Amino acid sequence: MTITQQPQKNLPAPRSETRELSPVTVPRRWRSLAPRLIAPVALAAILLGFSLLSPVFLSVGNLVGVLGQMAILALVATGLTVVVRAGGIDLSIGVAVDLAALASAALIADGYRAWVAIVVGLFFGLLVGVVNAALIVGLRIPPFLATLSVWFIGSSVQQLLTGGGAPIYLSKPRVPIEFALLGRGYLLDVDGVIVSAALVALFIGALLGTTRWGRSVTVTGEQPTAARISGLRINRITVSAYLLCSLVGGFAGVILASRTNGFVPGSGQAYLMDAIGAVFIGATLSRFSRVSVPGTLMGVLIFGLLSNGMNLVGLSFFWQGLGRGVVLLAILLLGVLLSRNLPSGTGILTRLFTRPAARSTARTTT
Amino acid sequence: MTSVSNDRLLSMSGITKSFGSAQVLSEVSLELASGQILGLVGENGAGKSTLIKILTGLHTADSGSILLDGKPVVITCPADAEALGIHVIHQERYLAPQLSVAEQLYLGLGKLGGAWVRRGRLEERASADIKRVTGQNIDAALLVGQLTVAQQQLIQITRAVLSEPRVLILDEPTAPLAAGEVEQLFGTLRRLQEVGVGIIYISHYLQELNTITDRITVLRNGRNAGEVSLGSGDTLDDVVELMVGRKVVEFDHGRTPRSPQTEDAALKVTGLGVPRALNGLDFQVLPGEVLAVTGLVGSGIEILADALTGITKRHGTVEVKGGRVRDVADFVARGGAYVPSNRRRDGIFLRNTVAENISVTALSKITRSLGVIAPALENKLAQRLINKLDVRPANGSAIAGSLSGGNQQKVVLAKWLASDASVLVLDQPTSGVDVGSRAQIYAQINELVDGGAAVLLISVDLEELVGIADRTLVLYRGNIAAELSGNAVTTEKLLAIASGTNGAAELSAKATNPINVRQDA
Ligand SMILES: Nc1ncnc2c1ncn2[C@@H]1O[C@H](COP(=O)(O)OP(=O)(O)OP(=O)(O)O)[C@@H](O)[C@H]1O
Ligand SMILES: [Mg+2]
Repeated sequence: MTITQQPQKNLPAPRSETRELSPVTVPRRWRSLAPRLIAPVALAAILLGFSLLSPVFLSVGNLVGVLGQMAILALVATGLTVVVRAGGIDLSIGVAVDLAALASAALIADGYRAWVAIVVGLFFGLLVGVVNAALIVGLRIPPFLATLSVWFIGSSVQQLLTGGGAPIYLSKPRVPIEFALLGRGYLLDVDGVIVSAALVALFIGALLGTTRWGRSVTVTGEQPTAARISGLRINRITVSAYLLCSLVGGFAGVILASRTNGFVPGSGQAYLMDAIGAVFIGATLSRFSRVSVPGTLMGVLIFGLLSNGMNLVGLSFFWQGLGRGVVLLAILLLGVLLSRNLPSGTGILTRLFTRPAARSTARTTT
Repeated sequence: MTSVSNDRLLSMSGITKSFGSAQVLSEVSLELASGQILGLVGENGAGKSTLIKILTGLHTADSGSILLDGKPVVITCPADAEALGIHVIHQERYLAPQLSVAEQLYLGLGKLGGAWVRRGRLEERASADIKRVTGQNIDAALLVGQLTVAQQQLIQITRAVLSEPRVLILDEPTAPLAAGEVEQLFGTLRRLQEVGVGIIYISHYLQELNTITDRITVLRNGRNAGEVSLGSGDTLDDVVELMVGRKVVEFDHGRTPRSPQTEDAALKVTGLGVPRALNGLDFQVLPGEVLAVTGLVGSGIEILADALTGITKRHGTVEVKGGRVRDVADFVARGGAYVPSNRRRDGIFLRNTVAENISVTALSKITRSLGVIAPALENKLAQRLINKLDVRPANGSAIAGSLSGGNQQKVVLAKWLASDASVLVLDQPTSGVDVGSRAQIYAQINELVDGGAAVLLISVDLEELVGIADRTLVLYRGNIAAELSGNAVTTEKLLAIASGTNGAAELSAKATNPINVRQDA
């Protein structure tokens, strides 16, 4: 603090609390650009760092391999992006992945045709979205708590359906070729899952970025009441966001089942934390911490290359979580510090814990 | 400490500030003596709020100096300003919605007492302080988010006064307040003036400045346009001319009330009720007329628009052009438009561009096949309305949150012009808008109404009601206390009825189910 003159002695002491309530304002252009460069710089640093530490890291073979490993995470994170853009969160997206994988693997194991397994798998994923939407829009439970509950319930359901968590293994000869291609096929020498993930990401990115629906989702996520007053049916919009999210989760699940030739309970849930991290890293790319599909993909890339690099340099699994946590924290922290002066609507994070949209309680005067 | 000269409590000189390439302030200076109330006026975007934000450390000036008691001070953050005794009530109300009124009031003032605070006692004291400063009864146990805009403003004023400032700055404090509360506020300001506090008072209501100040500093396009001393022969017209550069006629006072073209109500409200606030209102608005509703804080006008449009739960029926409206989406789909009073929370998408704000009500018009938005159409639509309402800067890709308050309000209006709405519910539509732009907005409203639109204008600005309403309903404790039409409306009469001193009390007592709205008339 730099006060050169203190004109009176008996003045009220400055309090730090008041500062938090004070207005936030838009800084100059260059200042608003700085926080948006953090993620790209982090990505570059990871590329550079590991290429020095490991000779194979930058080889084409390795990088393409990383893309293939990241495809499912990319799908999950893309689905999550939709919901976060709409002002919510979906902690249960891993459950959608798992249930879809479970259903399709089980059907294939029972000798059903590939398309039946795929459709039923997607349907199981969607079911999770239906439950979420019912809880959040119908019963007005805050998204964080609603999807947390579905996560718990979903974990249990998997255990019960698999007789206590027994994995399903498919014997290769019995898997229909169409189903196998989904997760293990190649298109012009490119791993098929990369193509699938890219197509889905492109589609959702275009949906969010260029369509009327995407615009409605965005403004609903920004200021739900203002969106309502503008005549948007925010309940429908919110429902559609949760459904789309879990449908994408379901698709990821079907691919997972095909790729791993079976189903291991809880394997989809493992993607949740990385997906959340990727989505919020992506938000730092935007002027207004708005999440977007390109941003999310950048986040996924950061996580993917980081894991790969840590594996290559032989860092033990136990240290890898630490590595990821530190990188995530550094990016988000820098983002907060550098964008401190940006105008805040209601921040994404605060909204997750509060009741959704409708101001149903009357603002009466007493 | 020896004060250099009491005449110069505060002086700012040569203040220059730009945001990126936009020069917002150039070489602005301002002088304030202790015990003086200085008016600060200028068009929307003239730079008033920016100047104040520099004084309170929210922005840093590019150059210029600030002297307090003749000594230079450096203010880099709001805490610096508060430590120097400079306290401001910002135009945008930055309150924490999750705090209780009592907590908000004493937060950071160091008046919470010991480590353990007795809730009940704190709330009692808060209520008493609010009553003393503003004359209003506000339940201190409520959360700030539950209060109306006007009540939140009163909390801010109380908080500022309790902090015992040396320099108090009020940036459009009365925009949400009704006449009675404004009087109270003026009383408080005069008391502060007597103990030597220097006050800077920013307002677009020039009449108020006439009452409370003698010296006015006028800004125009970020420069000093001049000084006016109302005592010594200058008039408000001079102020307006300095501000705008021309004379402004806000209202055509000689006008005759419109006669609506048909008798089929465009907006029909039957038995509109909200527990503890509105007591079964019946009224209708015909195409081609402006029906105004006014009243004091607590009379129910704060919640009327929310209830009518379906944002708040309510009883009764609302019909727009013959079709019943269940929620706000219905209302909009039938050609309704709602300009809410809480602009920052409900009106504008602060983090979207101006164009996105304007087009949100007209998405179907700018969408091509497959639901894809055509940016060219969107920009064209936005640019047309930006020009029509004279939004500054006239740039559709500017972020709405960076516009000045009055310009944000114009954007909210623009979005409803984009939707071609024909039943407009306007809740304080000119709050924070400068004289010139106000005249423009009234011209817009008149044009719409002449074209057959029905307007329900909810306003506490009595001049405005007298100026453009064809009929006026006065609410008193949740009931319609009187309906005045056309020429019968005068400011004095409205005020008398709204404050219950003109037979209104009897009127409301006769109501079958008197409701329980605490209020000081
Ligand atoms: N953070 C910012 N970034 C960019 N431009 C800004 C920022 N803050 C203000 N401006 C611009 O500075 C100009 C002055 O704004 P300011 O808020 O000071 O006006 P004002 O005189 O208070 O107007 P009003 O009467 O409408 O409140 C406006 O053109 C506004 O768009
Ligand atoms: Mg201002």
